[in-house]
Amino acid sequence: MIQRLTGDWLRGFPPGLPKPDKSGLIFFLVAIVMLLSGCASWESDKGVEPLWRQAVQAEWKPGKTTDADVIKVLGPPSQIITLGDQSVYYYLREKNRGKAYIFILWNQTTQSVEYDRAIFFFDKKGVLLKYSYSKPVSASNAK
Amino acid sequence: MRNDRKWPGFVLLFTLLGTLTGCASINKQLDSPVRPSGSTSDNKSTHYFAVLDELGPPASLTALPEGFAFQYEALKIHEQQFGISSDRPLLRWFKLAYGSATAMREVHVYVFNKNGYLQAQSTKRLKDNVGKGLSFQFIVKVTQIVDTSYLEKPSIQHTWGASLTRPLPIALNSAQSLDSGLHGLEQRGTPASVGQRTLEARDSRKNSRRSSH
Repeated sequence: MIQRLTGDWLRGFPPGLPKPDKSGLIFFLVAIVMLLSGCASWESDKGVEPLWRQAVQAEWKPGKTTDADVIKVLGPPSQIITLGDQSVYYYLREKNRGKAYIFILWNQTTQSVEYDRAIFFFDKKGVLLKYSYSKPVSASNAK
Repeated sequence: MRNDRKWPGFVLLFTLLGTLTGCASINKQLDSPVRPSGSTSDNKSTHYFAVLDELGPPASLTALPEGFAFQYEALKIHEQQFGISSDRPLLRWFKLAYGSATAMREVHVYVFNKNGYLQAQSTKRLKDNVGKGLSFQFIVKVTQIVDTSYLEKPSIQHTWGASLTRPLPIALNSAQSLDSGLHGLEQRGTPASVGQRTLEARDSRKNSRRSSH
């Protein structure tokens, strides 16, 4: 098989250039296989389900929506914080993505952790004051 | 003589394979940096609604005696490794690698009064040399040499619900906890041996890792 492949390759070798012999080419192919030894990618999610991306934003009306409405749609928050006479519901989703190129001579791994957040501020009566979502990740950070 | 012309490339290739093995580049990015405009950053009449509209939810927030504070944080870690190996029978499967890591950090803190108006704001962008190290590794293994885990602590929101089930020194310290959103903010990478964490007696990262098993 290798003999056939190397023979085909040698026949197509550009004229004028010195042709390597078959053993050299096999040696070269083995080197390439050794160099291109592995690639990997991984992805994991952590945190609450990002239901705020599905919920209709018009449902949240500052001055009208209550904490009970938010919990009913989005479920339990990741964290509840008391800020003086306000309460804050903090929802967090974490996306961890990575890629690895494992060669013999050169290895490269890249990993990025992105957070999708939603935050709701309520007054002491539990009425929504303000809410905010994370900005969509820009193209430069989405790599 | 004819073979000498053909082989220099292969000789060079295998010399490289035999010596410069296992060089690596490791990159990590935690969270996306925010870009505040001057109008929200320097204006004392800025309300926290405007900050939320412009920057989105903060990475962490805390209550303060006279108001509250937001913290936005992003981090990029880059580790460059240079590895060499030997062509000896057993040693060829291992490499000696030297690694050097840098961290680019960006932190924004906004402090608001109890009416929600901006009292103070600070931004810091810095490039830190995180460390250097030498290791002896299996040749196809790509792992960090420099320990940057203290910069990569998981978001506190993931473990907030379990805060009182942590090991005893941490649970007893919950009244001063920096993770609860009630007692202050903390940047990633702050040593556990200063401030409120000293009451937890041990490295909180090890404790939280142990409690998750």
